[in-house]
Amino acid sequence: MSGAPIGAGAPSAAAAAPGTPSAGHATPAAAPRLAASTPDDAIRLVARALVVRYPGSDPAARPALSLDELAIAPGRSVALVGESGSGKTTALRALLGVLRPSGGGVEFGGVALDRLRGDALRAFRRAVQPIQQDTDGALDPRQSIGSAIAEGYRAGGGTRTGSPAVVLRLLGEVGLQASVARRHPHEVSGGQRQRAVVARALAVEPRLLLLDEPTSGLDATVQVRILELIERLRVERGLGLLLVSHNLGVVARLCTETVVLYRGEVVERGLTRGLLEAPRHPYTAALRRSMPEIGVPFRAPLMPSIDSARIDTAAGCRFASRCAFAIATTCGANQALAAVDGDPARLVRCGRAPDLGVLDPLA
Amino acid sequence: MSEDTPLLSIRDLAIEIRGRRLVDVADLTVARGEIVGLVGESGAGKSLLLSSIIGLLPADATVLGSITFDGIELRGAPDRLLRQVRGRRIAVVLQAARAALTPTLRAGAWIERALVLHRVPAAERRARVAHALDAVRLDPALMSRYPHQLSGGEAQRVAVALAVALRAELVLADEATSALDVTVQAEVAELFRDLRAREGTSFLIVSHDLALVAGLADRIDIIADGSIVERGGPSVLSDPHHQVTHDLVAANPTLERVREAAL
Repeated sequence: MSGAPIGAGAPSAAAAAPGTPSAGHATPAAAPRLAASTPDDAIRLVARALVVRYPGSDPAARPALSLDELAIAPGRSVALVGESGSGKTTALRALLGVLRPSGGGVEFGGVALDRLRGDALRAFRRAVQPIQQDTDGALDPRQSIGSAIAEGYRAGGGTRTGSPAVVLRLLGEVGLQASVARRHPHEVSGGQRQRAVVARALAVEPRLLLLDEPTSGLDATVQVRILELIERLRVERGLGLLLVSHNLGVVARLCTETVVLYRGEVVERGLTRGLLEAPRHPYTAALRRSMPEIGVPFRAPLMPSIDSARIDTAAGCRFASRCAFAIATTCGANQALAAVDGDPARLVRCGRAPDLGVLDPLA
Repeated sequence: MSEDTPLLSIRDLAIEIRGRRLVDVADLTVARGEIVGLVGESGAGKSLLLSSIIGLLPADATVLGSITFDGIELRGAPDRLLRQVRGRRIAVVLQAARAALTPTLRAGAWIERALVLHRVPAAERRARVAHALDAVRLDPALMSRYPHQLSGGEAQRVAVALAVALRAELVLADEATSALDVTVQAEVAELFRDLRAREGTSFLIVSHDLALVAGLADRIDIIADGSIVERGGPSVLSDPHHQVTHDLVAANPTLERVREAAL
């Protein structure tokens, strides 16, 4: 498939969509290519029984990350949320294949990442594009933005002659003026730089975007425009998204599914809306309460229960030391991830979930 | 000073750098025990305004107008006078709290040294530190750690603990919580409110996070292009008059808004 000529791919929604600023630039050379025509099941990126331990850590201790299952495919949008040290970036790095897990593994199109070779490896690298928080580090400071995008295009199999048209189309698609192509990363604002990073990622016609805090550090009005951009690209190009974020507002905006991580373990997962409106794990409720909202009075963070101090979080529930609902009898033991409400997609790791019921996220 | 004189009072402040007027604020006040939020986007002039209060503007900046703290004129004040106010009566908490600590000093030694520099009598120091750690709910065991051994939230608490130990009357917080996890941010916000209640500390909180400031401040000033464009209680955000305020409110990806959109 990667041997197919440039321009042989089916026209993508992006090039065909009316009203797309770039539509007028869509020359045959600029038309989306191979990855866009690959069947979606060949694009599935799946982590199974993933375990990550850092070198030198106690083998008896619980790992830095354990994740039973996580799948991303075109059209799916999944968020990984949790605070610093929860393992969300570690999970993303394992999915990108830049971090080798200690156990379990990641498959792309049914093949383990470490067994991908040749065309299959190239297809993986093209289909799966990371977008990082640190846009300064994502672009070469000595390279103009236009040549960075052109380089991405050629790396994905594009021709030198086709690249100027593609650069123009992609800049238009992310809402940047053509003149930005000549600028260097330090000559543009943070918001423009993040758009340029998105344009460069799009140059290889990816199907899955792995986004690590893509808008943190940006002004609120800039953030909302970047979110609109990602949302539009997801719909128009049928992209799959994996979003790592601690901002629940951003998560609610972009992702239909959410996985909440706490100290390397999934504590709750399910559809974003149900999870945020009717949290079942005390940590999800705490995250929800902590998020400042205009028009909602400030809420003090959760105070740990009296029992909390007596619970060994190395053996029992990891969140117990901060949990208002922790009781020694239940939470002293390790908890399993279990379905609640008869919904196999809604999983909660809390021994008290059955008697606590739905937690009021605003109380 | 009488009770109703503001603790901090800024009048007709203009800051110019290389002929460009970057800040132009007619008035801004913080009363004793008041939490005032200053919200604006990058480049609006927030940090410049904050730096002018403590006399730490770039050397090529020209400052006009008046900045009084407890009746003392700070603009153009000699360094000797500024040193008595800055750090001691006016504390500054920055985004990178860990960078504000000295990497080669344990947290306890860092606080101790600041108390010595500000001439707190040796007999008082121990009690003041103990009180401060209690006020910010920091485990005294953390005092033997170096900055790199502290979490972001802990380092932020150490910086605030120093302000409490020095009995600062005004805390200037410049994006003090924006690098923290939301849960830790909520804890630091709670700490600010708690200090105001227990110690009567005043706060000027500079942030781009409108929602955070709205939940924390008694009054909010919206700054754009160097000038205050809108001012009021948190309710000003439910009925914004200025376009900038309106845009800032609209840009907040709050859950309530997402829910409304989904319905």
